[in-house]
Amino acid sequence: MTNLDLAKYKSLYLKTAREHLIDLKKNLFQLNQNPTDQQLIYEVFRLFHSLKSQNYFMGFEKTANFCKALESFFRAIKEGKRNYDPTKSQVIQDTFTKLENSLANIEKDNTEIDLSQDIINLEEKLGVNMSS
Amino acid sequence: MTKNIMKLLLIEDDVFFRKFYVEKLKEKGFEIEEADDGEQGLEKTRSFKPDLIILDIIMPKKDGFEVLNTLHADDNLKKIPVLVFSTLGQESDVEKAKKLGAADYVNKSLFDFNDLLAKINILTKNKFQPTTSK
Repeated sequence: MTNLDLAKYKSLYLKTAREHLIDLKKNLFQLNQNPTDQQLIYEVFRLFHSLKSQNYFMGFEKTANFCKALESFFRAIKEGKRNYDPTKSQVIQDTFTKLENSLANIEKDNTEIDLSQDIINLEEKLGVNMSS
Repeated sequence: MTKNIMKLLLIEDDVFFRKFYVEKLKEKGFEIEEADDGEQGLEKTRSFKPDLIILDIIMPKKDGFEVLNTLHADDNLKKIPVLVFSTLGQESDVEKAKKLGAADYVNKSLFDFNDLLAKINILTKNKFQPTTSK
């Protein structure tokens, strides 16, 4: 975490994070139609990576860790270590709602939602260890 | 006091990081150009001729690895030092980037401006003296 006053960057952070979520929804929708499309897989991976990086930067570590788990999941798909299974799409879509809720809390009073249990739940639902 | 105006090119797809770092580096007296993907980054490398490139890895169109490959294949461009802009969980990406010619890296999510300035200074052989620190 930085010792800079980041308050002036909070609105830019919230704006870009929400744009990333909109793009994630679009790309996931398309990925469900074309589950092996490498460009779409890369886009979903890239967007979770961006969300992770922004949240670490702003000091919202729990939200960042949640995004990092999803980034790791899509990195493994990108690297051919696993396949994307469209039947698990709802699990990924549910993470968007959790991230939106965390952003709403951050906007309201600068507190994020603790998503650590949600990472464990994700691992169970997707059948992978995403913490590495 | 600024002895030389150092030209930096920031290649970074995330508008949040781009706006933040461009603003902070301009405050320090750098002349800075920005690119939002690897393709545009290579075009601006040729036109702007930066003294140093700060390069994100995970980007659309051309990623940081492709940018490094292209730079390395060009006798003029490969002389420009590249500082990789990474974050937590990208240790293997940083190692790969170094093998492709990147000189060093900074963690963009753990903002340490003194570390960034020190690395810029080392890689540009101390041509730049920062203005008063904020």
